Amino acid sequence: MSSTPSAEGGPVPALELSDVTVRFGGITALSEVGLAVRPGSVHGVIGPNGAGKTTLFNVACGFVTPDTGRIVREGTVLDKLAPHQLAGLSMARTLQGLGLFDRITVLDNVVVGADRHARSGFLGSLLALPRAGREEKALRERARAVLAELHIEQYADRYPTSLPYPVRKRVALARALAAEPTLLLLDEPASGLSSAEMDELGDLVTSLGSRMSVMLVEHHMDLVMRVCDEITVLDFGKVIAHGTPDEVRNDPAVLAAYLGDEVTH
Amino acid sequence: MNRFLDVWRHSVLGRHLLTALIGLAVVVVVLESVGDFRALQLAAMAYLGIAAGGLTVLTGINGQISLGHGALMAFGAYTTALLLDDPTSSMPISLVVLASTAVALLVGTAVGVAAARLHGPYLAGATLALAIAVPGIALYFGSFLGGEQGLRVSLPDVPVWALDLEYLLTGTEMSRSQYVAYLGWITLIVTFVLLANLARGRVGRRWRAVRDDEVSAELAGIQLGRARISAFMVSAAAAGAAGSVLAITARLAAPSGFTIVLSLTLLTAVVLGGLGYLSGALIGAGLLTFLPPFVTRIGGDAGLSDIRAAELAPLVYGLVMVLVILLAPAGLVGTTRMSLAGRRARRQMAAAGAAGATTGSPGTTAPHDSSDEHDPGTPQASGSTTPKGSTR
Ligand SMILES: Nc1ncnc2c1ncn2[C@@H]1O[C@H](COP(=O)(O)OP(=O)(O)O)[C@@H](O)[C@H]1O
Ligand SMILES: [Mg+2]
Repeated sequence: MSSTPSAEGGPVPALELSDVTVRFGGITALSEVGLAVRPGSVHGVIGPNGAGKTTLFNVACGFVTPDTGRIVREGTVLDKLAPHQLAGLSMARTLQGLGLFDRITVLDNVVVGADRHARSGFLGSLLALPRAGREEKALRERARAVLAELHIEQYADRYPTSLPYPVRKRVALARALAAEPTLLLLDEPASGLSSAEMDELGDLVTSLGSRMSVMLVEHHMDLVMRVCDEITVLDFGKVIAHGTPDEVRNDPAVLAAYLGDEVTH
Repeated sequence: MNRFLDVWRHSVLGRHLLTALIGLAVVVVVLESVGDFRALQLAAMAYLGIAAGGLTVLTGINGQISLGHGALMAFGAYTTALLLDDPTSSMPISLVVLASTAVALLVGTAVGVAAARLHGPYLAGATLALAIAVPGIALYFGSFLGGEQGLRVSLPDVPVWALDLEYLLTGTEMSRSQYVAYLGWITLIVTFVLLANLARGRVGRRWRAVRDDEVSAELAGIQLGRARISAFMVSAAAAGAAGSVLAITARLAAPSGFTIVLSLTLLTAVVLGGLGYLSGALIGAGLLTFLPPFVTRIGGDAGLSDIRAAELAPLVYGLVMVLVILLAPAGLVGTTRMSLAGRRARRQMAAAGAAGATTGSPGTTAPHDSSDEHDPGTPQASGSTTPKGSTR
């Protein structure tokens, strides 16, 4: 990892992807994609199904190594990024498929999210040293606070599979927030939510924008248009448009890409 | 005094040590009231329990399967046999057990590193190879390890302080069998306190996270390989201690004692008691130790010939297994705990529902779930009900 000064002299982006290409066999999932997430902004990534949005997140998280291109986090180039390093880079991500830990309680799920703030090691656990105990208590309090912030503290002692889907989505979000990231990646956070729940989510994401940078992959155009400061539009793995919601809304290429898609979603 | 107790009750270590003290008291009472035969049976229960406790960490908490834990016990047992071979050596027995633990830990580390990349059936296969290969080692180095016959274990004299303590407490002499049983159960208690500490702490939480969802665990900063290897190391160490107690109890370390059957027996104990619960491992070990002889005796009393009565044991044993799987799929302890938790959750939800109705706020997340009874110990519950595509 090496530091590079910001090229344009503007604020250093929270995350910058340049020239990213990913091929899966014959499919080119991403083709020379570049984007920069301004610090403190909500950056939307939209595009029809299969456009490469999740793959873009997977590149940013180290799950997929791009064939070309580089990832720069706050001025530091991330070569050989591995997913477990993400938390240390103050990044957190929610998954399209939730990925909750089903056999531990909701509270414990969120505590795992907060785990990056813990320092005690193997001996601390083995001997249940007081320092480790205090740390555990602090993690649980942090986790409870996040549950309360998302209004799901009453489910703290339940197991995820016993909860309705919208609650589980919040648990997944709470787990990501418990890490107190400075960059949060949300993959389709509104899927499966009612429109009232979606409105609430929109308010939440907007309020998060004041605490951290947010990158948001979404299908629901109205939500994206409402909460995003900037939007990058993908289609067949290529960036076809970029700009403010108003600019993107009236872009002919975007309209063309979405012509069939709006009907199905 | 009350405050002092409170501090202990509210710390993890305090709770575990209190439980250990109570356990120790029970052990003393039981071992002082049984004869030599029962004492040796209880020692056998102890070594099965120690190994099953270690396997609980690996399989129940970390989700890895091992068919090789019987083989890991062999390393502990042979180490004990070799260390006790020299009658002039004055190595304290606790050090012998510790050294046996260390040897199994070393082997377990190597296996764990190799196994960390393997999953499910592949891991089962690799550990099965261990189970099959290890008894062969004893045959190959026959002159050193005693070949088919194995090594006889010469138990050192009961230490004088133990004899004195026994005399002070009960006014009787401590028999060798009693001594062996004490050794086994004290080893078990120490092992279980350490395992319970791990399970309750940060390490255990990370193990569970890796078990439940690898991708999410990684995103939380957990290195999958490290978590898997540490779980394997811990359970291998427990197997080593168990093997040491086995050698001392059976006074023998021979290849026939560490076949795949032993590994399967341990898995059975873990599943019977309840995957993931240390208390379940202990109950499983108890069932495995006492059920077969009990059934055989009942059969004998009912007028069956000796052979017939002996045949009854596996039958009843299999029946119990089937019943547990049907009626208590999360094992005996697991199912009980889950149904208690489910009842508590339902009561809570009912209370919350009533409160919500009176204040007129349904809340943003009205519960429309019907599955309070869900059961984190069962395999069905381990798969998420939401689709997880490869592209998530
Ligand atoms: N691991 C993978 N292996 C093979 N193909 C993949 C993989 N991940 C994604 N793809 C393909 O890449 C394309 C983009 O997928 P994805 O990023 O999931 O799209 P989106 O999230 O925008 O719906 C799709 O054609 C998909 O089939
Ligand atoms: Mg997607």
